[in-house]
Amino acid sequence: MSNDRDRALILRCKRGDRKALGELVKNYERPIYNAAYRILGNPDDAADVTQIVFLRAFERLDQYNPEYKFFSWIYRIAINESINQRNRTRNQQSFTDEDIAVQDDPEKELDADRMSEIIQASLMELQEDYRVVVVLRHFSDLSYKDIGGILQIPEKTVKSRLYSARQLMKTQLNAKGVS
Amino acid sequence: MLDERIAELIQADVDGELEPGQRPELTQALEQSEDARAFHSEMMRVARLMTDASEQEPPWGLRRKILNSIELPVAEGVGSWFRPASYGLAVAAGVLLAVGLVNIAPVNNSELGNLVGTMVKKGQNIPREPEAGLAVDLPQINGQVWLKNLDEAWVVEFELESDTPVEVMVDFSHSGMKFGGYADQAGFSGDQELQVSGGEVRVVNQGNRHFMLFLRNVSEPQIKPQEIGIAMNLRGEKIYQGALQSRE
Repeated sequence: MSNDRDRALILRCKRGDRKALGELVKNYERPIYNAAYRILGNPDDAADVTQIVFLRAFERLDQYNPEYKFFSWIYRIAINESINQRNRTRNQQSFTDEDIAVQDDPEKELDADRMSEIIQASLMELQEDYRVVVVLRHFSDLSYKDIGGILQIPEKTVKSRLYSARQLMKTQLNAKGVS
Repeated sequence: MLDERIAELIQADVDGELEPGQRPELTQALEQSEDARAFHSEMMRVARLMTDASEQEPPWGLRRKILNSIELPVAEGVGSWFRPASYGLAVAAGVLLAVGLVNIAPVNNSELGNLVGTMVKKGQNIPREPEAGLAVDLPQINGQVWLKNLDEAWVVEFELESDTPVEVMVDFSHSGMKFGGYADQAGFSGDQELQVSGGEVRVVNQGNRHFMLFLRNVSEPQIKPQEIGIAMNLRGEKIYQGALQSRE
């Protein structure tokens, strides 16, 4: 996603160009939804958060500083809104170990959807700050630098959280029979 | 126990962040240490599992919901009857039909002789939630088509974008409906191509267009349209075909 292109689209949005708005939403709807889904573990909550993220972003468009990347800005809103949503629904966790009991036959290959569910269950067991860096790194494909920019933490902290998160993920995946 | 420096290099390699100058050091460590090789392999595996986890498809209609919820400053040249903020609201319905009907007059077509009166009760909303929808995602044209229920009428709503002219064919011959009107976000001009023939409407889309066809429910008792066929042609060649069906 090119920041120059985003900047041009934002400028057009400020002039009331809904085609530009459509392009921005089209570009970011899927990545924002996927990040929210991986943080929240629930498709309905992820859809709600995605809608709120765009609404907040366009309400606050005047606060966006074009010297910075638009995607960092909107991702930061997405992470904050996902955490807010998570706090609101903390007691309604979607995935549990029981839900994700591994198939009886360990030899049987796990299909992609099943594997995705197991990965999601393992993610949900991570503490939030670990889960967020994993999501941004693996599901949003962002660099250490971009993750640090979005979360406003040093790159060193990004690396150390990723390191710990992966160790925990490894243990959880092994416990779920994913080898 | 793995050296912290080597663990860091391994992680950077897994994340594609290893600098070229660090590669020889990592290669040497992997050659010399079984622990390093095991750790590298484990981290690669965990990373791959996550990267390969299937991407989730946002729910159908989410983009539309988002777009409907955002207000922008009104652009110059956009008629007040179709401002985004007022779209779908009661005030739009009545005015929109009037504009559609007045503007449609230049089209020479006997079907249009029946376009009298109003199709939408004053104060009636155009519903946001569609009965059915189609997503068009082609290099030549993309966007969405919805079927919405207005009780007395049905609306086939299009939001399409194409660089070149694409012929959009709407076949409602099997729907039990009759053509009732047309409305376009940009208003209607004599340059636009709109043809109505029997149970078929032909519109040519170019650029970013938002338009609606109104279908009158002429059956007694009132029925839901059985099927409305949507086809799109580029230079005479069919590039898209789909059908809208109302919910049972």
